[in-house]
Amino acid sequence: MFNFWKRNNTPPTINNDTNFQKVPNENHPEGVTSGETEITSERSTFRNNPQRPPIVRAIVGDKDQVVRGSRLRFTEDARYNLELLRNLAPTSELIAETISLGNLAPKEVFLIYLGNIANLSIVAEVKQRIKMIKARTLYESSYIQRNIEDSTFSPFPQVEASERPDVAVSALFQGRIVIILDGSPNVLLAPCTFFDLLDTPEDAYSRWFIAASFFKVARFIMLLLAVCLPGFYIATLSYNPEMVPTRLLLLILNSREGTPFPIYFEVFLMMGIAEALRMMLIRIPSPMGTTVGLFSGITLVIAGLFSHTIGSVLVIVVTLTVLSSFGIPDYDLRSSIRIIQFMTMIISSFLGLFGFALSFFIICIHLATLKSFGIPYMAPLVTMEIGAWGHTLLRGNSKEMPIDDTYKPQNPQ
Amino acid sequence: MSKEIHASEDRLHTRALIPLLILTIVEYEVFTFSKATVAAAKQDAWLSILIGAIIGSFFVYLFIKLAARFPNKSYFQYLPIVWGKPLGFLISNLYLLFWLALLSSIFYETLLANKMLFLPQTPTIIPLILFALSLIWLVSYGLVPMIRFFQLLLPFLAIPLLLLALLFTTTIKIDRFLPVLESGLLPVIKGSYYSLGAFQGPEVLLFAAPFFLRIKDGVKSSLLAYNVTAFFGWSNTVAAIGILGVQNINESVLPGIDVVNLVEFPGFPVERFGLLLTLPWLIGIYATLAIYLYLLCSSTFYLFNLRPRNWITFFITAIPVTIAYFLPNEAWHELLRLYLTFVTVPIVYILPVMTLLLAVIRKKGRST
Repeated sequence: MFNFWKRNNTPPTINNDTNFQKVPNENHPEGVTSGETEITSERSTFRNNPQRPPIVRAIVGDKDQVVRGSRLRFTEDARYNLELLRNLAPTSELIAETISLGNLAPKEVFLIYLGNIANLSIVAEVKQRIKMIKARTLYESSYIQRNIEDSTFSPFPQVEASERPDVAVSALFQGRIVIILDGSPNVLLAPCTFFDLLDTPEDAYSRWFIAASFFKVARFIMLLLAVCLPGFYIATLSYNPEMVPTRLLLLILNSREGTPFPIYFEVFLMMGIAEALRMMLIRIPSPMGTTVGLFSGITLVIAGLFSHTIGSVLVIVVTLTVLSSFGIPDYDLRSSIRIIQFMTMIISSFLGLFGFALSFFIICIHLATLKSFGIPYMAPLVTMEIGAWGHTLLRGNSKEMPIDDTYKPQNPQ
Repeated sequence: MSKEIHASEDRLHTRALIPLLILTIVEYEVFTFSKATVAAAKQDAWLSILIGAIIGSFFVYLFIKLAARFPNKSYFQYLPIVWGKPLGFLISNLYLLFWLALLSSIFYETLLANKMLFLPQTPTIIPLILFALSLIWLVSYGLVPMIRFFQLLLPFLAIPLLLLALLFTTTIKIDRFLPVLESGLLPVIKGSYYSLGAFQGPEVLLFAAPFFLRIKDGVKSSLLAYNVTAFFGWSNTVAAIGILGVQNINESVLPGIDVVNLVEFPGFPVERFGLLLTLPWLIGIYATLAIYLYLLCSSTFYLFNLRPRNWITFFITAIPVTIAYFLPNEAWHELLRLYLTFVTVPIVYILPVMTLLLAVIRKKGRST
């Protein structure tokens, strides 16, 4: 899925529609230059001189660690971000359109796509939905994100947010649209599928395809564990312990000896503590946060185990669930999975394995029927495009860069 | 249901026949592998299933040929063209009754599983209603999202079943299959009939055909799907004969589950694999309920010229749920299941083939 464009060192060819001219921007906080966007009706054209703009300074955030790949990040200056994209994708097909949003303090929103790759009906739909947004002003791109999605009730994000320009360029070459809001370092990538949210750039940058595929599959398993494990634990042990193999059951029962609470309460308690710790870690300054988090976590677990308030197997289950949830690369999806996790736990507490299966079916029905700008959310898995599975579910080993047809539906609705 | 009107705009690749057929066919019977087959053919039941699979594959091939004669039309749309209006209407109603009985039977199995296994202390109507409500929600999206839903579920069904087929190989005793053809060929043929009867579902492709781009190219996919399910049934039967033996199968209530609990895997600290079957079993039940409920609702709307409305879908769903709830006991259900197995071959296999023959003779539809 991560269809990264190979950088070409030759100067970009300029067609009649696209003129690039770099003009210095003295107000830029980094003191770098940025391109000026001329607005002609809705469509912007770049002006460019033939010289390559200077490489911008690397800004590394600690949102996610970079093992290999670009360390560049988008900033809060939309024009700077625009220039960054132009540097990384020097093609004459790069089109940027602007929309002004907000009736009191208007903000510029840039729609960027590749004219020869993007599905123009999707571009029109994105534009239409953005224009429909009613706001006095916009503080963050999340406001656009939640207002252009197909289903705002769905826990699954249907528009991807990223701070990484390499991810945005990859999205452009997939045929997706990049939405930049002035003042927000998070650009939006639309449409998006479930598998886009589980992709990391490292999958594409890894040298060995087997290792990359292994980590991808591991991520899917971690996702399943994050969603299902606590609910499954409650359902099996509360309602159908006879289904658990005897040796394993004895082990679990032994670990729960003397614990005063029922299984479901114990799981909710531990999962609640884990969530509280996670929320606390976000608020505490990072040098102190890790130590405080680690100390509180260890203290609570040891105290719980020694006072027989919790069982040791439960500690394994909760730790595995929390760890697995951090295997999901996308922040929005990760947050949603946590809520779904609690929903599964609630239904399983009331209806046991039947409830667990029911919640599993409900999630699957929702995923199978969800769309992002007309693209099935679970494409290419549910659309049976087997050719695309190699570079979506796994990382293929093709010598040629795979061309992603996910966003070019054969039967658009 | 209203989305069905625009279904032709959102067509599927014939590869999607694989999840559709596998999940429609695999249900309760795969895990009980039709005890009637073992009762008839004894230790040669594995041969019966193989013969049944070959015959069934031929029928599936003919179904594709029939669907290809009437592209963009559902089975009920061309039944009156081939058979004439009165007969076509009668046959269509026969299918409605068949589905209603099948749905009632499967709802009853769900109720029984909840009563005996999952929720013994909960009133049986509560899980039944919850199941039905979620099914109505799925059915309301139409067939294409439903097939996509099946595609999502397929790995969760197929992987445990394949894993079980592998586990079986470690425990099977070959001498339990001997002597081969002890009572001659006739019991094996009789067993094949029962085996075919256990595989309800291939007829679904006749109704789903208009939702596929080029149904005539669907031969490979549909044969693959049919034979994968036949393999699941075959491996379960082989394991049951090879591990439990014919005598124990006849005495057991759920031999399919008993055999899984007897499987051993050296070095693995789990001595019972029954839990492995729970999710595939529920998936099989749920998917079969979903597809037949969809067929029942959409066909009722079509046959009786009704406007698709939610309350009608609720009402139609309520009929099999009520039948299942008020079915007096397991003996009644066993009887219902026996009748269903018996009428499956004429309704599911013979009628469509006769339709094809008649269409060829009367030169109806597009010759392929």
